[in-house]
Amino acid sequence: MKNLPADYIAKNSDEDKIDRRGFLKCMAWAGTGIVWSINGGVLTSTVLGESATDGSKIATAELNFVQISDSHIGFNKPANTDVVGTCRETIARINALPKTPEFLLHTGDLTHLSDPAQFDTLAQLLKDCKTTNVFYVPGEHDIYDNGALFKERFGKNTLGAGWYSFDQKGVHFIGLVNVANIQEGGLGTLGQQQLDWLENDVKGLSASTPIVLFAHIPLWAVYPQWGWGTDDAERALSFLKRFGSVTVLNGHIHQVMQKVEGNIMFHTARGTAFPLPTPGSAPKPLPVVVEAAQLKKMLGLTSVTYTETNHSLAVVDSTLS
Amino acid sequence: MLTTTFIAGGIYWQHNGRLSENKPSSDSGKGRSFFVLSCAHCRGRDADGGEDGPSLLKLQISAAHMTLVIQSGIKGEMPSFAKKYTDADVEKSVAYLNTLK
Repeated sequence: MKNLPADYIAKNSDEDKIDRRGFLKCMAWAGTGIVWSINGGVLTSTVLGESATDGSKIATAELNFVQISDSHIGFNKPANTDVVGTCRETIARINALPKTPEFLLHTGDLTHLSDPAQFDTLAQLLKDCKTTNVFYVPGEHDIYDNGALFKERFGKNTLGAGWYSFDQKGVHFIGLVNVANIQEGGLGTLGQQQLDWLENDVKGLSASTPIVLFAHIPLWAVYPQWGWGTDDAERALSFLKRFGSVTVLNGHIHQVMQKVEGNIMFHTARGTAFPLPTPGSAPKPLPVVVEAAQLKKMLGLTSVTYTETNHSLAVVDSTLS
Repeated sequence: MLTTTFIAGGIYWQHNGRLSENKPSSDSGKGRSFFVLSCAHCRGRDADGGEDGPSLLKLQISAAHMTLVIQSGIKGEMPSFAKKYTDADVEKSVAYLNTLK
């Protein structure tokens, strides 16, 4: 995989109508889950719903998985008084995919208060998913008890605060925890122990191995003023510079954003619970309260397709309602 | 609003617009760290209300009451931190909250 120019988003090399302004506009995308497909080392994302009606890419891909995030089970404020319902709807959409994903990634904030009953509810909801294999990383809302319950139930055999790696069909997946030591200002931190482990974990891999890194808080500086970034992410990413294809998947900010920097594609997922404002559009990152019909629109469908060959980013925006 | 302001190499503590040279105690400083780690995303970075937690500025409850709430939580609203923080840690957190009064 060739390195992409860091500024390629600013150029509209294709007739896809996505220039810098268009990209920024599309930062407000909505989607309840993202289907990732890897075919020949190229990773393609499609937001749930669209792929249910157009599954051609999914059906032929070598590896399909779904990312969901920020379920916040237990949240009951006006921004969404039925987070169980929207999570259930997300699972129904996963089940409706033409090809059952091989696994799910949940990028944290499974629960709102780390309550045992909330963890139970999420586990029960996921029992209705055809895909039974789920990999998790915790969000800051999952570790109010120091992460004990999360690790016991969703992080067995993980290291430290819950980090680990695994391989699927030639792709190396790395789950990191950047919520265990949040810094002044709200930025996430990985910490020296986890960084040392990461450096060692990827040391023996061939540079042609596709890497998928996932963690709760974005590993790029989305909006540090709101703590939407990770303080020592640069060090982690430095270990991955030699790899041809690196994809970083995060949650936390409850909206889809994407950035390509060199060999690394960063992508944040929409949550299944409630929307947060776009960076800087509100004084604080508080849940966005909208009417039910509007919420449905905000949970609408968006597809993102990345194609290595022509360096284009294709975005299709649609809604549930 | 609570912010630390760096002036001529010294740390001054600004609370609700009042700038003073009263450096917070080490206990409240540590308590601030716990707040940042576990509370700020709900209560706001400046403890003036956040994601879904109300402001903690000018709390009119006793230290003992704060301790109870931190350790027990509020059902459906706030988690218990009894398993995360020791009694001494909670004491430091309360010391920090008292600086917000």
